[in-house]
Amino acid sequence: MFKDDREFASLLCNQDKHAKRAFQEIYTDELYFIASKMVNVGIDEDSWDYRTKKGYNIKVSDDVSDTYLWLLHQVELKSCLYKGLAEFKNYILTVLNGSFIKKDWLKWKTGITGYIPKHIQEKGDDYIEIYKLMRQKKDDETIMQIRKMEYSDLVDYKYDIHRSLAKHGQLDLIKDYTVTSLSVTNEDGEILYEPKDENLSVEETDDLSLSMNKIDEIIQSFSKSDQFIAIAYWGKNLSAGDLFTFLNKDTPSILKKSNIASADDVYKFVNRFIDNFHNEISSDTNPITKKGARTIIENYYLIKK
Amino acid sequence: MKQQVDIELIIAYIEGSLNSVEKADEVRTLIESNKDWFSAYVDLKSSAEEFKNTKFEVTPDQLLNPLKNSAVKSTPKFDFNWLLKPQIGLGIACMLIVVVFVSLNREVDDFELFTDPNIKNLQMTSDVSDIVKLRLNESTLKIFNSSTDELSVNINNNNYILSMFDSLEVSLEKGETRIIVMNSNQETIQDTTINN
Repeated sequence: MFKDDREFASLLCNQDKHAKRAFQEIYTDELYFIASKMVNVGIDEDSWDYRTKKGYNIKVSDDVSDTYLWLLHQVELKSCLYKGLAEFKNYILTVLNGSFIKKDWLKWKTGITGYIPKHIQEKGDDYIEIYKLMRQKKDDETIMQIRKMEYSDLVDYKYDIHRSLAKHGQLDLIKDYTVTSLSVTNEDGEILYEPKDENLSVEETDDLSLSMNKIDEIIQSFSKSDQFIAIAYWGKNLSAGDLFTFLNKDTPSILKKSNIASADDVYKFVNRFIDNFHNEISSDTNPITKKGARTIIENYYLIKK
Repeated sequence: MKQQVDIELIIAYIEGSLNSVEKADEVRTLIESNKDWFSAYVDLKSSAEEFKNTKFEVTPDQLLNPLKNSAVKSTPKFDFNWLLKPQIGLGIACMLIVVVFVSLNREVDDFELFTDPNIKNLQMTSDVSDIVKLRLNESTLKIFNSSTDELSVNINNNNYILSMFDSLEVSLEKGETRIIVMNSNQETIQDTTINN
């Protein structure tokens, strides 16, 4: 029926019914796995259980079912780009499960359903309404008026929403706002909010004024291998073990340049990186503790993700 | 010039399927020197590893490559597993016991003691006539204990022990032979004289 991977991909690209049916027969479990991961983000909701061929259950809600169908459509699209360099199975599943496709999914989800992320829904009606208004690009005055709330309360709500979106890699949903580690600014760079963040342990919050550019500048001054490892550790949330195993196999020179010879050395690297960053960023005018420096780094890579 | 990230090339590098060492070196250099390539590599590697470590159904070969349709695996017409069921096993065990007893009895029945014309002067001291069976074949006497008791047999002042269901063969000399059989309580259950 299919001569090889390239022909299979080509038929999928051309929406061949037999190829689509064959793909679903082979990869249903994997597609449900990805769909479930995209939608649920660890949050329970009304769902039915899909029992995989291997015998474990995946919670399938309406969102998961819709996403499954969307993924099937993506299979057609991505199959068209297949060149036959990698095994088709690895190619298509790795791409569908990768973070690249997540942004496309968010766009689709937002465009057709007025999607509100589950983690925002869980926070309650006030958060949902404010999130919707932010999505509609309403200014703070208008939101305050509609919601009949004080500015300080609105700022707290917005801050929580930003943090939650950033944590789930969904900041794209509110494009007009950028979040620095310590403040929320609009596109013109105007600071809308400087949040109270107890974890920062900032001695004098009022005097604190850091821009993303400053953080960028410091991190860019570090060696390239250090920057890369920081991306993998904070930006991609790799564990020390995975980081060492992955890079040691595929790009060992990066580890070597950063003096990492074991998974334990990754922790030493993290401390060294924070120390170096702290030395650069802390000053008399911006007194920041090491704990604060660590939080800034974490937030920086969360945003840069 | 900034080279656009090639996702499939990175996946091929990760799975180790690039067809030349030079190509693999080229990809590795890009990953190690370009932030976008490195970032894509980490994403793809994590994604690939997640799938590698998640146990999904193993895709049958005939689905992966339908051209190489393997013969359909035939199911055996007779399933022997039912024999392993305890009810069946118990039934078989009972049948075996019955068969053993029947065969033993058949062996016992071979001793047609009372119809053997060569055995004379038979004197039974016990009413239980089926405890001991005797058979004389020319000069060979065969004695069979058909009880569960251990019997003592005295043949012309030679003593023998006969366990339950056991038998004994003795060559007889010409002339008269006296056979005395006693049970475990030393009761004489048979006293027989044979003229050979």
